[in-house]
Amino acid sequence: MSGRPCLSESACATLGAVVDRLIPADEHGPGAVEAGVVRYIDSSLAGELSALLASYEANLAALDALAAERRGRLFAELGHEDRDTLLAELESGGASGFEPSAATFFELVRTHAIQGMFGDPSHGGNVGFAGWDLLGFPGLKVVYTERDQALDVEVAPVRE
Amino acid sequence: VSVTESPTVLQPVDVGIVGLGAAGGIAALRLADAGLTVVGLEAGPRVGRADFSFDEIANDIRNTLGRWKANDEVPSWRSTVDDETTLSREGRIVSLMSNGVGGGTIHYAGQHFRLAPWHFRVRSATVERYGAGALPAGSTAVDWPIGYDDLAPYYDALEHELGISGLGSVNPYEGTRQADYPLPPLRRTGWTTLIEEAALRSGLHPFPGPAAIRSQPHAGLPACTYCGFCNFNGCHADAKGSTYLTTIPRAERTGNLDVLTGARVVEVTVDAEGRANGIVFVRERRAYVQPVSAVVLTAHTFDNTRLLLVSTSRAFPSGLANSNGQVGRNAMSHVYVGVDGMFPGRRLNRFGGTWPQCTSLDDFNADNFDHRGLDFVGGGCISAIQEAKPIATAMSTPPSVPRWGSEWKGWLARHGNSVGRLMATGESLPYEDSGLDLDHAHPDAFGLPRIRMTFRLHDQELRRFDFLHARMSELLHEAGATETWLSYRRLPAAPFQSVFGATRLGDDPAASVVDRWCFAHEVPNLAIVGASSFPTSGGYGPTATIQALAWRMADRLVAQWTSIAAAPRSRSRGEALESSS
Repeated sequence: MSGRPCLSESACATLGAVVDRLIPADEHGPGAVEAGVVRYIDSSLAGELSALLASYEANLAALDALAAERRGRLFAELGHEDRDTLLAELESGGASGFEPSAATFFELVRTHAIQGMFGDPSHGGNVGFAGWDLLGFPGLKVVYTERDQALDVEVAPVRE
Repeated sequence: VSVTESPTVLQPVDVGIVGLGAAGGIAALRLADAGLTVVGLEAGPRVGRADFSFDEIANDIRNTLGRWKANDEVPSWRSTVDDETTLSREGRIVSLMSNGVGGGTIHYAGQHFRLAPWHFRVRSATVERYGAGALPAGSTAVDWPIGYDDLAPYYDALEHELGISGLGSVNPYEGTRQADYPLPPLRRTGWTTLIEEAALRSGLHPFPGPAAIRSQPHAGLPACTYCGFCNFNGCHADAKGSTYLTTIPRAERTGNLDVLTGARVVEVTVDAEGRANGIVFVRERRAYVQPVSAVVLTAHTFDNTRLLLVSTSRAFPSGLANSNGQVGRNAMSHVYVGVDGMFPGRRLNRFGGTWPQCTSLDDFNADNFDHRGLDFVGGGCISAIQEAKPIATAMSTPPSVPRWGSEWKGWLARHGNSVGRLMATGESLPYEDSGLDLDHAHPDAFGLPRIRMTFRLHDQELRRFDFLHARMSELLHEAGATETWLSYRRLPAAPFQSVFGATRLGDDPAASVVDRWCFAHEVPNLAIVGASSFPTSGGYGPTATIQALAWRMADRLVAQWTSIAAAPRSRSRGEALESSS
């Protein structure tokens, strides 16, 4: 992991409520929250992605402001349906108050959520290999055999 | 980093090489073998297996191997001269370069294609077959001053020097070769065979992609283990043809090459006659001058160009070798097309392996197909690739599926191992309105202006992209895909891995920067080698051609040494700097 926690507790709560809807826990396994995606993004913002910290803070605040305006609550206090409605509005670029735009912020969070979910667990996400199990990614194998690359065979995953 | 004290003057050597990567690593061996004393200045450190990890975030996303230089000086970009200049999207890396002894060959994918004979004759071959109107207005596409036959002996020699894997008899569009590849192709896989069979059914001509990755041990170096973390990473098994594993150690064993790592070159100096006579660099916050009889620039296109433009002098007020104003002109990138196909219910098992384990085809490259009615020239090489990493896999789902939420997640759970990918590397022509210059508004950590790229995909490039997309989709459907989609958005312009041009090869000193041997028209003892030398981009990754040009340049420098390095060498005593081990 590349850094100490840096988003405020409330910003982390908002972020968690976002990535929980992007990659929810369901019958296919753990979601982004369980897989440590908030920790991945937060520690990245303290390190490698520090240039994006201010943008994250401002846009998460804008999301809470939007939730307050529409529903009179913080984003994290909304139900799934309301959160999905607002996120769809961000994705389509309809919402205002975001920098540089709602759609850009949405793509940024989506990209980082996917990185946290499916990246190497050493960065704080993909806890318990939740992302790799979901995809069927075999994991870190120094050697892939001819059989491992054949069609339609099952490759035993390495999870260490 | 600011350097105020006057530089320490080092002992003179015959040749100073700036950048020990794909080109510098080849030139260093040829020059050292010939008995010239050579200093290789490399901004990065020596890297090796301990520096590499199976980590998609560290490699593909954060470009950890570019942390010594490239990541701090990402070029800015604008689409046209009227557009606002920006640093890349979200301030992140656009052009992923690795730094260190070995340069880009540390983390390259390792596809090792020769250009086809047509790629050297884009203008004349197009005019002959389709008429002058087939080339777009505003394009500065020209023939190379040399042809395939000039480079063929070097391509042959390189394949043996580096240990290239491939099969030389099956691609009907390849130029003539002296012998087959020294090593058999990388192992075939279920996926690459599926595409090979579909291509054969379609009347196409698939072949195993040539790879600078050893399929078998060769020359004392080991073979690939197909780990799946190859591109954007150094090899955990030392199985790539990277110059830090192949030519550079050999050059050092001659005793004639001193490698200085952490040496960040900031200027090439000239004498009163305008001949290159020294290289200024910063190392551990101290400045040095390396006096030389000849300079070889073998950095990335961005830095070859930048070093020329910042090296101003009385003899060259607008930049070294730039009295004709040509440095920076005619820059271009590639057209990169990725298409994914869904094969429901199948386990494609593309996770392991390496990109160049591919099945490739040139049926839609160069002028290998009839372009009448298409309104573009050239094409691209299409490859069916392995090495599907998990983040990249999750980032590409079809437009028919929501991009997030439970439905998206369920799609990945069902089909994550059922997506096949084709990638194409397509030609991109040079244009009058594209180029590189200095961006004084965005200095790097050394206070040097960054490079700014002015570049956009023009109409021909967009049509070439769409054409390749369509052919790739057809091939995927023939192989059994039920749905296909673009793996990446069609970027409007942003340069990607390879950037070409800006120090163009040519016979006309008024219209190019270097001559047919890669020596500057205006500075006879200055060679500039790299993708920056390419007059046109070609429809493949450039590494093999960069290295062939470097080898040819070095042979020329050795053969013409007394005339090229004619200026009396300074024998003033300088200090010795211990080479980096």
